[in-house]
Amino acid sequence: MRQIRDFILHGLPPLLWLVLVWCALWQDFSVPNVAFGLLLSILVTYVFRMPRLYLSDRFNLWHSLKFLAYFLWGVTVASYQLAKLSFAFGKPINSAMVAVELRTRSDLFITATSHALSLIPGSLVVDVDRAHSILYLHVIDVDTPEGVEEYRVSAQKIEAMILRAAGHSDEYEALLREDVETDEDYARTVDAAERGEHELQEQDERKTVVNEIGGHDS
Amino acid sequence: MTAVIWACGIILAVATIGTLYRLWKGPTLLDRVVSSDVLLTIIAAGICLLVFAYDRYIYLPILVVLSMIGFISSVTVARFASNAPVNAEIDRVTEVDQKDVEKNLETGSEEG
Amino acid sequence: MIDIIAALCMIIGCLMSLAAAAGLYRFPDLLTRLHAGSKPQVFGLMMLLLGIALDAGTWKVVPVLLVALILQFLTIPISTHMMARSGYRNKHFRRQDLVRDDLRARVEDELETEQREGVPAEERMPHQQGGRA
Repeated sequence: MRQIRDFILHGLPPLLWLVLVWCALWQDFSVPNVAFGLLLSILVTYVFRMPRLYLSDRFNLWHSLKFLAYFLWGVTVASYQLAKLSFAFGKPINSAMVAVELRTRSDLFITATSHALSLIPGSLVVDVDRAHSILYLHVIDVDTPEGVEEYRVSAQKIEAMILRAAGHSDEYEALLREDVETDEDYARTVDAAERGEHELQEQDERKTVVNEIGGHDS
Repeated sequence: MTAVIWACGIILAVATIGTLYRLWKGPTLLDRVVSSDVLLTIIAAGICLLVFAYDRYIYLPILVVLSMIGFISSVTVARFASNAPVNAEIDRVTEVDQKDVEKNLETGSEEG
Repeated sequence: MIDIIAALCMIIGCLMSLAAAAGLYRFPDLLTRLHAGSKPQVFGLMMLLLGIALDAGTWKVVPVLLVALILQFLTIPISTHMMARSGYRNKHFRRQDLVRDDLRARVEDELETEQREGVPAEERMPHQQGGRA
């Protein structure tokens, strides 16, 4: 049973992809062609045996469509901005090299995130630290450190979107837990801010008094 | 429709000239590799234009093959690009010339 | 009507190649030229293939175009990554343009250990480092 499930999850996708490519190249999806394509792909995967491709064990259609839409939109908008930058002759360009730490520890998703980040214009993956899952991106056209930070946060958001769409179950659950925690933290800080604003105001007043008297910073 | 095809053709030709400029000028090896990669993609765009203009859908597998194989040359060159900074060769040449000159002077003075 | 949209898509696709060439001409160093040389191509190719699909009018050509697009999406980041990595390590870029540089420490570390031990980085570090498939 486990072998069959293994085969369906990991052995079938390459086979189906080969059949699709064969039929697409011949531009002919009739039954004889598909059957012959199936025969050829079984032969090819049997003779030229490659190490097994371990895809993940969940796939969420809604999140994948959301990611696809965001990706296509990102490619369009950012290509337009890059084209505008290319045609602005004479303007100096500032870039930056940012280190982004990813949550995932698996080969497949580091690669998927690097591809997504390289295709959405604005960044380029220059190096990968595999042991700590850190991507080093070269970002074009950023002027301030805030812009760089913003870019880093958006890169992590893209990774979260990919994990939601097709990540391994345990990484997906870790992501969900993280979301809940940040929501709780946020609620806590909002409460504290409302309660503690009064205290902060008092602290500020005390500090200004000290400065006026002539005390120096510790 | 012919106007559109002519316009696209002229745009691609201008793009090719720009890329050839970088191929000629590019101070480093990798700049030239980038421009040859861009030339390959402009050729793919030209084939797309051909398919559009003459409705010959038999040319489409060429695009598939170009996409699959066109990146291998850039990857190979990048993998084996030299580790020396850009002006190292010029410095090494002048260094060698200087040493030769000194050696000749020495041997000349010994004989003479 | 569909003819007009197809023609527009073709023109936008070719303009993106022009933007790539203009970027190659005007950007000051290798890493930025890599941006210019790969990003507009992706969008340009998408538009060109969309134009062909709209002009053909049948569904028979769509799978080939999709396969070409997916393969292009898979291979362009690989070649740009390899060139960027090689260019960064060989110092073929302008350091003064970078607002923030996180990779410098790591590369200098690696070069230092390489000089001390005499073995290039790729052969020394095992590529199957931790992590899962």
